[in-house]
Amino acid sequence: MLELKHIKKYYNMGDTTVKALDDVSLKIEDGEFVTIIGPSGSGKSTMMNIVGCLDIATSGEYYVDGVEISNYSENQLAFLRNKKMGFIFQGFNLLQNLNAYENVELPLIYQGINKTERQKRVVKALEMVGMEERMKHKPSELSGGQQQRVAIARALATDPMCILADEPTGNLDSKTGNEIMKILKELNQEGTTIVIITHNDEIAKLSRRVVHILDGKIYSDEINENIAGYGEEIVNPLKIESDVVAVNAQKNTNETENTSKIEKSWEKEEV
Amino acid sequence: MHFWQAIKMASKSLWTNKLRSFLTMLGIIIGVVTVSLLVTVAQGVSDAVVSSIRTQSTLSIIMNTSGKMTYSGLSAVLKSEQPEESAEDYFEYSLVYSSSAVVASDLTDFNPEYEDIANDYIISYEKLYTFTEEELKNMTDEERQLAAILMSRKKARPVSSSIYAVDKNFNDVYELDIDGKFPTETDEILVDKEFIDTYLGGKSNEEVKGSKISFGVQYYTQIKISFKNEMTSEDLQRICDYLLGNYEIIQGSGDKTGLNLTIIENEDSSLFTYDLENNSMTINVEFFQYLSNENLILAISAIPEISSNAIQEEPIIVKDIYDATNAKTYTVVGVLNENNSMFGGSMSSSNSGEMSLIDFMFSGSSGTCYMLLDESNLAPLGSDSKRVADISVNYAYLRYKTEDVMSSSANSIMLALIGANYGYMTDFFIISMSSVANIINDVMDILTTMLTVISIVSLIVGGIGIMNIMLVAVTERTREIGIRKAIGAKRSSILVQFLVEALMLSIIGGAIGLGISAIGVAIISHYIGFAMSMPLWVIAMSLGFCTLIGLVFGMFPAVKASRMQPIDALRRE
Repeated sequence: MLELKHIKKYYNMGDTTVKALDDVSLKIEDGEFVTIIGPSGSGKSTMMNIVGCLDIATSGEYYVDGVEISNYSENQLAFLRNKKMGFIFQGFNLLQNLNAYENVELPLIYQGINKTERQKRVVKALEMVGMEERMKHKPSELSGGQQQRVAIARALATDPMCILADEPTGNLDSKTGNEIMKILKELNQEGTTIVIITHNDEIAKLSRRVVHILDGKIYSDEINENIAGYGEEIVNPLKIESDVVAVNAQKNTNETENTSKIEKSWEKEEV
Repeated sequence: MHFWQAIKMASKSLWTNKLRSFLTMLGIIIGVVTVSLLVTVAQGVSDAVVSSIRTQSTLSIIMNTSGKMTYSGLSAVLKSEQPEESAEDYFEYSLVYSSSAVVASDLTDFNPEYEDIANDYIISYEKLYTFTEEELKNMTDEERQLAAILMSRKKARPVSSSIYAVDKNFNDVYELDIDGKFPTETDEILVDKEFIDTYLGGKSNEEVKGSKISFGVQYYTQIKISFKNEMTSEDLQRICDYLLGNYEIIQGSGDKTGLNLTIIENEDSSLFTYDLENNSMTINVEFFQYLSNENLILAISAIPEISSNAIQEEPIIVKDIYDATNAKTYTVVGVLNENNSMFGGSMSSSNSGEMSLIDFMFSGSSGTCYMLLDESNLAPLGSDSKRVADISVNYAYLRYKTEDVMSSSANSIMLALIGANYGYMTDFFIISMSSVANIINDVMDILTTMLTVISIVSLIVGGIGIMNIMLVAVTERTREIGIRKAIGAKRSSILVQFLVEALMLSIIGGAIGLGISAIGVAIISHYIGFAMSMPLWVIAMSLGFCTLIGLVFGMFPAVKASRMQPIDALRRE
């Protein structure tokens, strides 16, 4: 569960203060598929940075799985990103000198997982996005869609609580974009929280919950009752939500304990 | 993140920029090659020189005892200084230069060599500018130095018409006037080279023939004989006896494995027959058979000196001098060599065609030494032969088995000489080769340190190159840093990654540099002609310093990279 409470993010640009986010409160339950939409300059990227633990708010509280992280150090944030967040970027952001396999492996290396376990998880993640055949290819040898799949696999590999996608289809043609969205939806159905940041209405139509951001404030937060599908059966969103919430409620209590333990050891290591 | 992972990542990104990585390493490579090659060569040459000096383990004793020191006297002193238990082995061999003729010869050459030593030791001679000990004591250091030079200078042969000669047995020196006052007791003399120049005015053999003085060309042959097996002292003695009985040997040295000889050729007993026009030679069958019957000869090489004389157009060597007053002809057996100082004569066997009085000796197999008294007599040290006993000695040259024995014995020999009333402290001057070796060693150590310091500067320049390129890399790879941070890289992970890259550049550069040096050392040793090997400390120091350079100059860029904020880094293209 991700919960933003009265989050403000101000940037000082010389004399003027830009209010990128101005008192935003948002709660994202586990297993949700949320699209945050807004025109450029509306603060949605800042929103993404804060939700993704890439940046810290000027004021307000942010709870990740019930833990307030506003005072976290850089390394604690790195740990959170590594453990709980998966990122998908518009420009794919794969490392060019590593092949698909190595790119997916990277977050697992930072996690300190041993080689055999890493291999299992990398292959599994690549299989989930249908890229297991091309794991030895460098990004330059892959199409945009394929690169984005690898990026999704990288986000998946650590089994994150939430996948944050910043314009995931922005650099792709509509057909490939739809394929990527399909993968994301499938992941969501398997229980992963998906947060998509976009300015594209078409994408918004695919998600159950749409949050409009305008001038740093939440303009609207709606449940989309009429989700566009790809020919598959439209699932009753209410049913999914209640099921997932029930399951995750159980799961969360365990995970929070585990996480705080690991975080402590993580901190020690840094000192 | 494991260190191994960091190395894998670093090598990957270094490999991606192969050319750049190599060029960056080049700075370090050059630095390391300079350090290791120069230091190794300096050290190797120094070791070789010093050890070759040390193996000589020689002690030179210069004595100014106005003829008081005789051969038997010196023998007795040296013998008394020889520990009882190792009577045979104490001196490997010792060699005593003798005869007053040497005095005549050496005085000319003695001076310039000893001007420096005069700072510390005042060497007084029997005549002319002599200062008493009292006078010397009251002088300032500068005055004393001047006095020392004066005392030796005035002994320099005056540029006059007088020439010197010595009889065949080296018993007497004669001063010959142009007028022709010749010795009467002997019919064989040595003449001064100057005599030929001044008195004969460079005339050729033919031109002077028929006048008062007749000339002949003296043939010399340098022979090197190597034995198949080590000789016993008896065999060696037998061969020496044969050679001395049949040839006029003016110079010789050798040991159980071989002999070096310079032989005066004459028509009766020629070891080699020369064809002067074709510059070829034939070995005397009799001599060859004598040795080969014993199955002893490994190789004989000979250099006929006659050809070099002819080419260099040096004054021909006087063979006979005709004394008009007494109507008597003298045979000249050699020319005093002006170029032979005491050291020159003893340390380098003469390779000019001329004969030198201070040449030389046979070294015996048991460790005894021989002294050349004249062309036909060798006397071992301590010989009580009457011929030798009374000859006055002014210079002794001792070789010891070991260096440590030598250094302890130098002072005791001096004390014994003084104790035996042969002179005062100022009359003896002892130079040990180990002190010369120590000086060379010290100089080379300073040189090595200097080279190291200079080379370290070039390593630092290489290090700056690494820092420069790492800073560029950090800027270039901002986005990569951002991605890595977004997916969970900690500060330390990024820091380690970039630091390891810098370290790999410097350490691999260092290793390549050492490899090149090793090849260089091998090539240089091959050309110099003695084996050198890179000292272990040079390898350790080079790699250690490279590591330090990598750490120091890689730290700043790495810290810079690790401090980047993920959102800033991701935003940048």
